[in-house]
Amino acid sequence: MERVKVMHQCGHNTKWNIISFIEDKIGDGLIISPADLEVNKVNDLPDSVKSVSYFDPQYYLPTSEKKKLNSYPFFPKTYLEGRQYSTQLSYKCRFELAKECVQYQKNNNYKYIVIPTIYEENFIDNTYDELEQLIITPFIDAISRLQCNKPVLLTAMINKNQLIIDDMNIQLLNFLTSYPEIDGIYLIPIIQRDVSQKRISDINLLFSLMKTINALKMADLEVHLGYTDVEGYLLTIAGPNSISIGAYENSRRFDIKKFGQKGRTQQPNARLYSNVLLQWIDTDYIDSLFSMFKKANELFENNEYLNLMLRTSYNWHFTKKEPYMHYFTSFSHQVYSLHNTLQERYNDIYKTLINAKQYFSEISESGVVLDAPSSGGHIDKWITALNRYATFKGVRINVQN
Amino acid sequence: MFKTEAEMIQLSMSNLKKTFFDNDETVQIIQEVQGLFGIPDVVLKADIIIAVEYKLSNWKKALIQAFRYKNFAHASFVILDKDYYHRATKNIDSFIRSKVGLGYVDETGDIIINYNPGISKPFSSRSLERINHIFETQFA
Repeated sequence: MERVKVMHQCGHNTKWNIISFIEDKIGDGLIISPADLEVNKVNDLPDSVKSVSYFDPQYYLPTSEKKKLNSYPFFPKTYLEGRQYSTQLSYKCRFELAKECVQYQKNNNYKYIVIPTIYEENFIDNTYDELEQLIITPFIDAISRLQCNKPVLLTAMINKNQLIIDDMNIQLLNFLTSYPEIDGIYLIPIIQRDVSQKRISDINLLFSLMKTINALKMADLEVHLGYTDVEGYLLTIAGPNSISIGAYENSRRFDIKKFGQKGRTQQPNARLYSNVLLQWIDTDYIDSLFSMFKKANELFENNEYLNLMLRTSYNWHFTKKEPYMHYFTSFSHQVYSLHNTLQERYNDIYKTLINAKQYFSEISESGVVLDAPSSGGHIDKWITALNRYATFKGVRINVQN
Repeated sequence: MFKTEAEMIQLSMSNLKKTFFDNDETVQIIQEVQGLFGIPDVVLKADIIIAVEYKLSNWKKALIQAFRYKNFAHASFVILDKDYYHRATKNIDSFIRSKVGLGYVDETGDIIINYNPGISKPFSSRSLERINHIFETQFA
């Protein structure tokens, strides 16, 4: 197994990711989001940053009217000037569009050339054919004609059904592994869940996602997981090449609404990441934790951002950068500390989960009552998913939970 | 016994001052207070601040909510429907551990307190400032 890289999934306030990457030296590169950064600002990024980063063309909603997306001349809505992006689109047009997008990525010297995808609510049989005709074939052709020698990533979104229904999973894997020109998959799990449900706690789903990552790796493809949150830590057991870190929740959980028209959403509470609990804790609990739980200072990585935030004058708010900068640092340290053999990595993750379980129990005994989004309801399920995958891979499992 | 939480609150509202402040006439009361960690059903303020979370039956949810109010309140109580109250008393240790009070409303609207945690300093001085400001604005 290789060391897992940590990529900044850029989003709103991309400057936080850039500061974290350049000044704090956190992460291995950026996944650049054109929906959040206009073309001229992306072009101005230093070459040293671009060469270790990749650009997600974000064709998820090709007719999106988002201003920043439309600042890119190769974004379908801009390129086609109002014409419908569909199978009706002329063959020539698709190839020109792909060529412009590949040329842009090549000129900017990104680490990879990324082939985009389109968001589909329900995948049906001919969705794959459509994707191949509309996007994949034109992009592969453009890469060849432009003589790109960069490795190529294919964007793939994977929903719950494609994970847990065997036939659909096989169909997806067949599709993703059928292009010899492609070096890896930029894999985006689309796991719908209630907004108050912060962690993915479905054992089957987690296990299936691990198996899918493993299957792609076994096919000699790189796997770069996008839009991951704390789950990324658990998923490292399957050996992805990279996982992602993001600031606002919509860069840690894919939400198609981000790419459509801007709507009013409820403001979330500020949260602070606990590397011990593997959970984001609502900051309204910070004072009670420090008052009632004697080991509260062990819950959060003590980096420069924590010191700033624990000052009494600090005003918690989800739009402030410090909680996210703290998370970038804390979470990446946690991922980098993992060992690189399957058995050792299993032991690392298992130990972290058992430790989290113990801390949650002690917090409860101290009288602090955490609500569901801050609680440890996911821990036992994560232990089970981890053990299930370890068994599947023939790894010796621990049973002391 | 009660069909809705609103019915329970309405019937017992006039007894809140008697229960928590011995009928002190200076007590100020606000219902459904917005802008805090959660939305307490009732907050009473005199020399101290008491938060009350009413629930017909779901004591666990009520405990989570009432615990949050300790950020700004000197005491926080869960008040349940008398018919469902016994479920919570089986778990009284959870209330004692968290220092959250527990009581119920009877058929006449009286509030009977089974566990009173006493008063303690609110966890968050910022939240205390916020609730004081809300009262000042409301009763200016």
